[in-house]
Amino acid sequence: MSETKQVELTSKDKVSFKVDRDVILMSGLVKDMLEEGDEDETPIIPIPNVDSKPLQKVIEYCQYHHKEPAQEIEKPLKGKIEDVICDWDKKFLEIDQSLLIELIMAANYLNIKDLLDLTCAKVASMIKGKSPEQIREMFGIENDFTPEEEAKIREENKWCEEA
Amino acid sequence: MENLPNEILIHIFSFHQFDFIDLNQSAPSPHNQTISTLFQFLMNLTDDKALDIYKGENNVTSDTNTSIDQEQFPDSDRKSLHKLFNYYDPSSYDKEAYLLYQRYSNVDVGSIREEWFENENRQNNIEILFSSSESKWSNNSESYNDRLNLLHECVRDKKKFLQSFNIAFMNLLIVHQTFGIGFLGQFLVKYIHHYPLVYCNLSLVSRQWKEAADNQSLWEVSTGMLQQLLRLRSDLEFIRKKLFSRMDSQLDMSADENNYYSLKTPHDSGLKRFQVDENCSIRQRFIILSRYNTL
Repeated sequence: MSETKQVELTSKDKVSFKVDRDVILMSGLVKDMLEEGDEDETPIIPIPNVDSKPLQKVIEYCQYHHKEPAQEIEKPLKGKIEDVICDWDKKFLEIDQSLLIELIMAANYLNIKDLLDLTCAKVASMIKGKSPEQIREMFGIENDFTPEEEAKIREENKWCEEA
Repeated sequence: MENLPNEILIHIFSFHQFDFIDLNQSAPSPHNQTISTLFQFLMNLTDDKALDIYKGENNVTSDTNTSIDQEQFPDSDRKSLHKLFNYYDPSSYDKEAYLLYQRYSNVDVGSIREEWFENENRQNNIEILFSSSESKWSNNSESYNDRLNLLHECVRDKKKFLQSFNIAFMNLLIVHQTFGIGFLGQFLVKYIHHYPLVYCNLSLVSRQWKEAADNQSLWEVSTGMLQQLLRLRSDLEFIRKKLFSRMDSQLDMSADENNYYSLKTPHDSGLKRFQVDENCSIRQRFIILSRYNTL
């Protein structure tokens, strides 16, 4: 009986993770790299853009959804994200905001569509129905409009508030 | 969050394409549930059922899946809907329904229409998009898809998109005002404005968010909503055409001192006039007109 082939991922902060090759093939980036590279027994793949904490979450996600394919999140998002995802994903998303953003970046970089959808939908759910001021406060976004610019945008869109 | 590239922001925004249910949920109205129910009702409306309702010959109580008396609608909503459909009838005057109507009926249609039609190019685009013969509005026709594609072309220019939408709804409104059921059109005009409001909120967060919100992708993802709206528009247009296809009429709903109502048609040499009782409601007049036309 042959052993499962593994891949070693090295995070930006130099932490290594051994993962089953079949599992991490969910990543389009890793899949491409493996196809291009030599058939090493345990290839080492550097992931220079992702820290160990989000990378660990990515691996956790792939390990689960490798066996349980993620369901597509329907657009538009109806209600809260928690209403349309499975229990495992709900628990998976119980993370702080900074890790959520890191996960989005990691999913984007590693080209894992289902994880990108899940995390982006979570943010979409968070901003739903919020005012610009509330969104800025929630994500610590600086309002970089000048008062004149902001007034101009509001003026341009005034008709749809008044109509 | 500020480090997220635009393509990710756009991806996030793509989960915010709005449909009617969403519009209803975000609508700042004490009548959200009623509105939601009404939209569901409209979306499921078949031509025959719509015709019955609009002609007032059916009290909206059949057992089809288009009935507002279905179990899925709570009593309060059913009553509200009946009020909405019946508000024109002075004998069934209801303060709540009247106030609800007032809430959505303060659009100065004439001036808005005039302003939007000032621009010749815009007018041409709108007419290409929305003026059509009945057959072209068949949902599955090639023409329908052509128009959807054309609408997508317009979406590339956000303002044109919004203006197109609003012209479409203004047309609906005018159609319905003409035939004494203006509430529905005005109602739709009101609610479609919540879609651009979403854009406003996103675009006011920061320069980067505005750039992402301005990206056409945000608008292109709204295919589902466009299809629903086009279908609804098509349905309503169908009703109008079906009711008045033989006369292509202009109606003058005002009565003279003897309670004579005028009906102008290009196929007749002059005005058709008929008399109704002064207590006759507008809805009943509408029924009379419909029957008159089919004689």
